[in-house]
Amino acid sequence: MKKSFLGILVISVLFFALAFGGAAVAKKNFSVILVTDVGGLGDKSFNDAGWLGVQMAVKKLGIKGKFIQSMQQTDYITNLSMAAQSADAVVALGFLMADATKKVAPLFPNRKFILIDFPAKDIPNLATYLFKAGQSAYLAGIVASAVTKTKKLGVLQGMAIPPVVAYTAGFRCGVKTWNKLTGDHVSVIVKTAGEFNDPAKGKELTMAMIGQGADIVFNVAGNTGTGIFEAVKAMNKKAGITPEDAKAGKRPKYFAIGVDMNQDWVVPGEVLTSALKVIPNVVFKAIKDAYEGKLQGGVHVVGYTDGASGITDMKYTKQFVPQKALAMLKKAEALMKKNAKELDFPPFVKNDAEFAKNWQVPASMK
Amino acid sequence: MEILNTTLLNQTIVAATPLILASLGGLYSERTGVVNIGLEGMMLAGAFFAVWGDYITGSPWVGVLFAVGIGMGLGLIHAVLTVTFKSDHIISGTAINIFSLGLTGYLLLVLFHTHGSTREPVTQLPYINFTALERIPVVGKFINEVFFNHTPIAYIALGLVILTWFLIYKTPLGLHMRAVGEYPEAADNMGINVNRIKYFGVIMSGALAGMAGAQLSIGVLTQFVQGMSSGRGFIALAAMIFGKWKPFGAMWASLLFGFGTALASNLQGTNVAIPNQFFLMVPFILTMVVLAGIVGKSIPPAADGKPYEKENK
Repeated sequence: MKKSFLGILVISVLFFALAFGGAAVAKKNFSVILVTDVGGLGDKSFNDAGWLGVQMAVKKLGIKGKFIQSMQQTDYITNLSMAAQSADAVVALGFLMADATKKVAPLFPNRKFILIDFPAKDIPNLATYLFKAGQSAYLAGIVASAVTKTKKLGVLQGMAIPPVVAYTAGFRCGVKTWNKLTGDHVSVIVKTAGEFNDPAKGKELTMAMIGQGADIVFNVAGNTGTGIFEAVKAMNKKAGITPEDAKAGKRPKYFAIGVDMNQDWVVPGEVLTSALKVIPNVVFKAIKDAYEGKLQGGVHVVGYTDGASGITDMKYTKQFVPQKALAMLKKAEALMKKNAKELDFPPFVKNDAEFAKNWQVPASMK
Repeated sequence: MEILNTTLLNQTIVAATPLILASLGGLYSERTGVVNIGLEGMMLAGAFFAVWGDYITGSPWVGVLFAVGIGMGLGLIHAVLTVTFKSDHIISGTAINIFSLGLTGYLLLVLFHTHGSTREPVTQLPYINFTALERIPVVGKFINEVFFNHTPIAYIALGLVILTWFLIYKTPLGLHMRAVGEYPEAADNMGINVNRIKYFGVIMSGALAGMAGAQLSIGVLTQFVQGMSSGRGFIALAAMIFGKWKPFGAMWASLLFGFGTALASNLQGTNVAIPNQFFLMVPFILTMVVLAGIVGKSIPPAADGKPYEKENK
């Protein structure tokens, strides 16, 4: 009997550890629980951005906010149900959680569900948000093509799921535009880690891309993507440029491109720019709507005009971007502002190479 | 051929190092008859404590010591549960894996005040480099780029393989370990303290898995990310089995797997016609095909996983 008791002890200790992992900030009665996907918090991108949105709501609306971190895909249904039992609104972060959310939401008709990166129509208490991530990646693609010296760019995908591939597709279109308008021949290598939580693998894949000639690597890989920064930092150091040099404005040999959030600060000077997916504002707005009882179920697609797409101001790296590219960016952004059809990238793409092949460089970009 | 470059071979060693250490760890434990599927958790805890030790002292070597220490601590827990209390080895190992996941997440919050990953990079382990080697014509650059440009842990791992082989096959302690793993009753009758040998094996196992974690977090990277061991503990366990519970076998199996992942990483994306899922399978398929074809049947120590009850006299 002794041994089974010990086993229970070990497991209860573990549950305490897990329970304390999600810290709560207690205020008014309305409460929100965020459930992360397997990438988890700390990715400095997707999941962190969602959590930031919840924190904004906590601060501005005076509600309660908590999170539950999913360790495995099989945790989603359990975690979402657990969240729905105690919270008024549940935020499900990510495409990978779509099936689980669609199953759980109808079981709790009194709770509001907010799902990012997947469309679902017929569940009244489920509001889904999709991002035109391709717009951000398109702009980043133009910048990268203009800055590369090897004429080869890399993209590291965490998993090849449609919202991730949408980024890659937009990036390819940006490169295509640059090539068409300048007569340049920049090519793109795409690699997929198969995981959002393995930075060592992310570093390995980045090293492989650099070995194959890429000098700028675009991160679309969550926590796996933090390995890109490590690889870029290490390779620049090997080429004689320390992080201090880069921060002081010396041109590094290799660059990373950040994703979702502004990641330019992660390795200042060595991150060219970040393709943004302004999740915090969208999550905040959705929670606010839920709080005020105005949340509409169904599909909401957001993009540049909603302030949800774009790239950073390149605080550390702007001096490396040629005027020609900056002018091109301005033109593209003006088009996006007008909601021009040509630069209205879909939030879901299945095959990035095919998408870019069939995509025509808009005449208005010339 | 563009694929067979020095990056590929260098990456093979990078990918294999944590696997070699952890599979050696598994070997220590299983040779003394204790199955240790807690390697994954021990590696993860090692990765975390390496970053923490490094963070508070600024020295990556203190980090490595911390990692080895926590590994030994978890090894001790596994030994107490399985050897002294004779609980099921798989349950104890699984508990350690889940416990580590929770523990590291919790400590990340307490010690670093962040969720999911550490923010500021810590000092990395040094990389050993012999640029002088590159002056040797033809092979010099190749040797430096493939066999050097690694952290000292890569060479420590190789040293430990040789040391373990010597310990297990050439010393009395190794003989005792093998006896305990194969036929504990006989070992007991010979006057060997069976439990003490098992404790030694399991704690060593934790130490090595912890070091493997340090290599991941402060050797390859400069940060901790929750769940970053990402199944490597289980792969190491498989490498040990494919290596027939032998130190060099485990090393070759780890290297083969490392080669598989590095190869897949290099091949991926060069031809868009092949779906990337295929490349993600490459290391597993390669390892299975080679090992099933060449190695043949592998037989575990006879008393592996069985609790040993001393007979009442």
